[in-house]
Amino acid sequence: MVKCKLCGERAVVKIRYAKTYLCPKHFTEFIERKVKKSLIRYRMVSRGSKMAVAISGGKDSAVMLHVLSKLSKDMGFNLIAIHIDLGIEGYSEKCVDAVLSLTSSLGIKCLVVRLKDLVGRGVGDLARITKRPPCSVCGIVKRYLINAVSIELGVDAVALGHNADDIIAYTFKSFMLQDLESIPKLGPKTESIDDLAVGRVRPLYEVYERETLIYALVNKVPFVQDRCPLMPRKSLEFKIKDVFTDLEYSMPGIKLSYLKNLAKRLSDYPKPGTPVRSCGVCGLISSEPKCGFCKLTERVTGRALGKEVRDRLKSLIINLV
Amino acid sequence: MVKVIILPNGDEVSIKFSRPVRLINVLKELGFNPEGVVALRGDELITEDDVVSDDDLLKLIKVRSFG
Repeated sequence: MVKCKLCGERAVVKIRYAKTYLCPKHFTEFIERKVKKSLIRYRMVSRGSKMAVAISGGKDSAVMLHVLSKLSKDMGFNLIAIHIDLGIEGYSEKCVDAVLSLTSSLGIKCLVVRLKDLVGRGVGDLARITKRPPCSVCGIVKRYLINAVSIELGVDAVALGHNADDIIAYTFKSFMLQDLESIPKLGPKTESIDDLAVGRVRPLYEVYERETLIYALVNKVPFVQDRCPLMPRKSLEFKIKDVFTDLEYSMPGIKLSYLKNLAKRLSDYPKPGTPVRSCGVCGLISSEPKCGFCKLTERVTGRALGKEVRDRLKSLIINLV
Repeated sequence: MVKVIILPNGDEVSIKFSRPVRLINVLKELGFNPEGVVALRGDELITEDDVVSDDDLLKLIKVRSFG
């Protein structure tokens, strides 16, 4: 039996980069301490602030909410959960169940936003009709709705569940494609822009994907383990994750070094060429006269739905409060 | 015979070892990087340095998410 380096109990995890073995209790404390350090180091939250937490039903955002729920009491900030039901048959129902099971066990209010109620169709239909990849449509929908809800809630920031491996995969891919303007948006924190966009924070910035899975298992955090049926089997991000998993094994800690150095150099990357403006239909952030969500819904329904969707969200929020 | 179930797909494989071995040997035999999976024996998480025996039933969960 391998023993915890801190207490001698049975170890459940070897953390190669920290040269240690930990039991469930000390591993849980290790992860919570790591997230707390990121919240402080990257100034993600302040005492008395209000944070929305975007939760999908997957392990990463579920673990993020679980950890933030503990830290919020200690650090004095307030939480509300947001879940976007993407209307993916046989999958979204499981996600909603997992999210509500977690939020009710933690005593955190959760706003469930159902895409089908807002635009009449789920992500799969939107992708099929517009002939766009489902992940691209899903990204537009989630980014828009999470931002729109966060604006209406009046929160100071919205927390996203991207883990260390996600951020490495996205930034490395952006570098490979020389889409350098996208890289600063993937850092630990982006700032709010008045009335247009709520700032985003990534509390799991330095937490490895393997660590979120172990935290979820050790703490019995409910999450959906199924594969999203719309997700492709192969992608460049997956390949990059595999490469970095191999690198981490032979050079423990290389992923942490990458992320810490990236955070220091984010301001050196170029800013987007087109200035930020307000969508002519819904008034939220856009780089063009019409935002991606309004253009998408216009293609599908013949009408840009951003303004109507924002009005519906306002009434959803009034009912929640 | 060490029986291994690989999740989330549910694929099953069995491997024969002549003596108890560390989990890392099982992972290497199956072509898995220890940084890319989490292992359970029954309901208990185990580390790559734990010893597994011939009659153990293991579950390997691939870390990379699919959501």
